[in-house]
Amino acid sequence: MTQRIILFLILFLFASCEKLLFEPDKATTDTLANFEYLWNEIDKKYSYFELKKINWDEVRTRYRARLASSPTTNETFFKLLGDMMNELRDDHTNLISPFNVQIYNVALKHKPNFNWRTVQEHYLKEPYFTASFAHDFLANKQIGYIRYGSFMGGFDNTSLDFIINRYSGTRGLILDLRENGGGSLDYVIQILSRFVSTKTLVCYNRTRNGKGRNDFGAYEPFYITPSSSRAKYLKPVMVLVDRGSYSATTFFALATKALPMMVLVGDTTGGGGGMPNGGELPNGWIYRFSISQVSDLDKNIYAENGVPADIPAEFDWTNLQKDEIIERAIQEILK
Amino acid sequence: MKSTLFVFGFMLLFGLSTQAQNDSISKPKRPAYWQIGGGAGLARVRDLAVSPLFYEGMASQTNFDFIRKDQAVERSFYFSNTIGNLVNKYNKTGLSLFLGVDLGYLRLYQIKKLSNPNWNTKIGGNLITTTNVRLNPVFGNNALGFENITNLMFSAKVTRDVSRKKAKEIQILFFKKKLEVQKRELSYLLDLGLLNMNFRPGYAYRYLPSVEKNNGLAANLFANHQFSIFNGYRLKARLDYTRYLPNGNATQFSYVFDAYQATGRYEPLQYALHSFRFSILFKHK
Repeated sequence: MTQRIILFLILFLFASCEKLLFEPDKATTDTLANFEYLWNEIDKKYSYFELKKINWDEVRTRYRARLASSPTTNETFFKLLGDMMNELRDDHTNLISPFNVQIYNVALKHKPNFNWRTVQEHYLKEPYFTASFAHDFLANKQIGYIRYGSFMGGFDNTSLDFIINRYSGTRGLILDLRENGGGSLDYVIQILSRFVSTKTLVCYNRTRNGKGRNDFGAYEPFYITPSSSRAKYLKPVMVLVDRGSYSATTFFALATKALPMMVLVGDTTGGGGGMPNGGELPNGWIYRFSISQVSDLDKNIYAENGVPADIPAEFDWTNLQKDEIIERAIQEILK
Repeated sequence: MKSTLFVFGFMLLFGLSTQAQNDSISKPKRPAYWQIGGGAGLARVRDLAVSPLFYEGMASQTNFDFIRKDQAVERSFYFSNTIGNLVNKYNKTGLSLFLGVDLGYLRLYQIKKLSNPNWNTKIGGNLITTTNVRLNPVFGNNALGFENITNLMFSAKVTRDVSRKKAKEIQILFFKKKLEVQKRELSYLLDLGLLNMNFRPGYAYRYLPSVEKNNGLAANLFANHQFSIFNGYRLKARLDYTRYLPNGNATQFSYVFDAYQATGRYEPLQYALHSFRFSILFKHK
């Protein structure tokens, strides 16, 4: 009997032992606790306060006052936190609740420069659709046009080989990345590796490593290594970009600055140079924001606000039979 | 700091190993067992670097041990893994996969002053290294959590001989059953972390090299991970009820409690597991 009592005492003791060892569960729907948690997480890790001249302390004061002055429902509280995150002017900043997702949407704040219907109707006569690429010859087969709409779109090396080989006899390529909102950096690397003949330093990256808003780790070089024994294209490539070219596409655009054969045509990209890292609030909502900076070879970090085109060009919405940005790219290749 | 740790650990293990060698010269070979078992329990995990919420749920366990023991000395190499799909208070339907793998070495010596034919008390050390992989897709680039927690622990084990020393007959309803003489033990093992180390994600949790698949698996898992020593704590307790069979094999029912906090350089990981296991011990010839 004594043994059984001892056994039950031990089991009872350890059944709730971790409650003594750990801090209590921080799960709460209290609005102030969630507000402070989010503000602090961003304060500790967001990477572009200085570039964007954001006074994050002032933002806290302003939004705390707003929180205190109005009654809050789940939806109004979500709106308040979303508005606070939008002060960062960053599409890598999102708040995700079961009922809504907060998005800054930089592309909608600028003029659009891409109309897929125009491209399909007036430029692609016999298009091929290979993996996530749409492509065709332009200008009497002197130029190859490749449309890649999202870096989320999968492909493999066989698909890339086919496309590169198909246009190997052309004078130049047009790679259309307008309205490409980004995706996987792996695809950036995989595509760029077809356009370099030697290992090439294309940019640097550095990440927050301390609570000070300008605390960063060392600059880490980012290289593109040529794809071994795969088809390559080393002639001029016009990369079409606009404000909808975001995140991985901005990264791609920045990398082209280090590759002389690649030229950006169109509008400045949308930005999104930081790597977004995710987390969770005490009320279970999910957030993400940028924690790193990408910089060019001179360690300038402008890419977050957009990579400017080498050859600016604008789509004329009064004439939907012509794509001025494609025309400008054709002109540049054939000059 | 790393080298100090390795020298300390090596000396400790080497010292114990030398002593064991001397023991084995003067004493007969100890009985050895292969232990295979499995069970289930409740796991509770919180990684404050990405969430202030505890993730909880049922976790299954398997274990595989090699044990050599007698009244004077006990040694065991052990392996166990824990796998579970855990949820937090608000996101009950989300997937948060937890996989933990433990590898360890336990060595205990009898304290004669605290031992008698019915009670056996041993103390010693337990070196355990735990590797966790956590997958929670809602965290985007932070979806993959990976860490290693290694602890050098002080261990104490008390064993009570609860053998049935006389055969007896019991009646269950209309049936009579004869219960033979049987060797049985009830033991309680407590491990307290003395030297607690961990290898945890860095300040920003995930870094660019870790999301580029082209960098290889090591870069994906370890980019900017930080090694931390004398940090956090671990407590492990285990209650075993062992019944030996006439052929020398045994069966064992266990309750295992394992809890640790890996404070790391930045934000801590907290883990607790309560599990019930059933194992079979096969006597090693």
